[in-house]
Amino acid sequence: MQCGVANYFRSLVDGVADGWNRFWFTPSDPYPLGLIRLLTGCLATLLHLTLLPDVGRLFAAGGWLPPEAVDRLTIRGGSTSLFDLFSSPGELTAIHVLGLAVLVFFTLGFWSRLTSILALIVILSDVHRGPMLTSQFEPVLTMVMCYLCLGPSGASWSLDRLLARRRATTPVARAAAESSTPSWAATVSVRLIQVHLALLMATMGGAKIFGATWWVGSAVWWLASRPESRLVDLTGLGEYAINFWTHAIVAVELSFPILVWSRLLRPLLLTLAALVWISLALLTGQITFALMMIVASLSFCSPAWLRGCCRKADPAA
Amino acid sequence: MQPTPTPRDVGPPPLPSPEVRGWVSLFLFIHLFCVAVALASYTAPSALQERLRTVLAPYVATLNFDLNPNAYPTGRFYLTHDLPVDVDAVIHVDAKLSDGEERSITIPEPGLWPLERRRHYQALANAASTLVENDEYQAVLPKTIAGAILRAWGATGGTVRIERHLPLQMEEVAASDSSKSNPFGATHYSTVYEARVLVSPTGQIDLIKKVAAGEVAPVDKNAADKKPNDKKPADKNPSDRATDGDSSGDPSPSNGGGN
Repeated sequence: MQCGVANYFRSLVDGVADGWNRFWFTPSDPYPLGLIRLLTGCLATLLHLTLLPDVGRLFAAGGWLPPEAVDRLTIRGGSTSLFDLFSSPGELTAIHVLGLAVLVFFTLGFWSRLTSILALIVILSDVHRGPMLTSQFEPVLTMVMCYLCLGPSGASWSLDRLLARRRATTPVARAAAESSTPSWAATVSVRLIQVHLALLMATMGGAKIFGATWWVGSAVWWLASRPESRLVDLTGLGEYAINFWTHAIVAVELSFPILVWSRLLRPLLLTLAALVWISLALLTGQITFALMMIVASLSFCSPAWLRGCCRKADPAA
Repeated sequence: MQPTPTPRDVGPPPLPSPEVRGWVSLFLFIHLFCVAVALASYTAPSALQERLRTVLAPYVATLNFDLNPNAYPTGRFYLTHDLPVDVDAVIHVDAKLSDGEERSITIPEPGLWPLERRRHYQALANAASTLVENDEYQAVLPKTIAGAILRAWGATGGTVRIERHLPLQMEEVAASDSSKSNPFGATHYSTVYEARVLVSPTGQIDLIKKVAAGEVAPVDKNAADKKPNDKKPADKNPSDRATDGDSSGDPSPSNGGGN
């Protein structure tokens, strides 16, 4: 009996360890990371660029959001920002333009290893300098950017790769430059995006069912009837349509973290999730959040499928 | 003819050594634990989750993994629970300059482009509106925003007002009364905070909050018998000094509007 129990636990530990190693360390094609970097970089650049005209008014000495007020409202710390070091409008504009250059390099995949880390610092500085200017988009953006620092995000869709191909002189070096060598760092990076996204979806679904409006099916109405935010006036929808839409959002958000790991159901879940994000963008006006969720969801797409889809746009694929 | 090398000729994919795997696994385990704590404590955290979240804050808040590090629900991942704070808000700052010119600004300003830029200002107005529910923090944003604007205008005083834009009820859409069916009608705005702002010659900002009649302790029987007949705090009220920077002690982890 004792031997049987010991064997069970030994096989359990071995099985979990094997599964853990297979899940996190099996080398994979870094192609999706490059695509995610490009799209995430575009959104990060947009975020930073749209702050640029207002940095003086908001962040300069005597501005709308002095560091003391931000610190007071940030009750759990973490308010470190590069922009705290500067206080004149001129300095702030200069450092923001520098940050913009970093983000453009990151988006283009130039010195990706370095610029991915610098770009994360720039965006975190934006977020921590003015947390009251942020909403749902920023946590997803910083999450993806953080994990892009860990993997070879410049292995595709990047100037790094283009330059490596031009510099290659021998056939072997050219082949190495033209292919995306599978790497375990790419696996760790992609897996972290997947796991974090699944947990985030569970959190979003869980937070919704905490309130009665999502149970009684009226939540979509309360979103649709906010004229400042919405992109399209959908208040003409019937009650049943509102109820169905509300329940569908919760159903997708709660089922995604579990069912997306099934290969058979994954395409269906990703399609439904994309529809949910697009519909929420229409309802809430949170376009960048919706796009960021779709970009993060690309981590669940197989590299071969993404290469097939992008063949026309990226001949190297 | 030399065959074209394939990726396989370049070499097999490098596998991490067991030692590297061990260290990376340890990092992954700790990291995922921190993320799980940050996310699981988003809705109604237990005392243990709240404590863990505070301990792990230097890591999770710095990397922005904590979805709610502020004194109010920042990223509303629940979107709406039909709470009073789950609506859009606007901030109005008005002043009369020394030469008699009247100036005003609305936040977010109409016509802001692109939409992403408007989102920042809408988030700011919504944050100020949500903080109204929290006595300790409600004056922080009105004071800094209005103070900065009035100083830039060279004004010595003015007013700041936060209005919530109340959504239409489902049955109001088909109402024949246009004041009800028009989402921008006056009945759909509610002033939740109003204060006089004073700028001293040294640039010091003072806020004098206008308090709703219902919030003021009656001083005589006649006053006690009167019922407040208007919820707008701006209309008929004695003023009261706002607690806008003098509070001491640790800030409460309470998020005011609830999430």
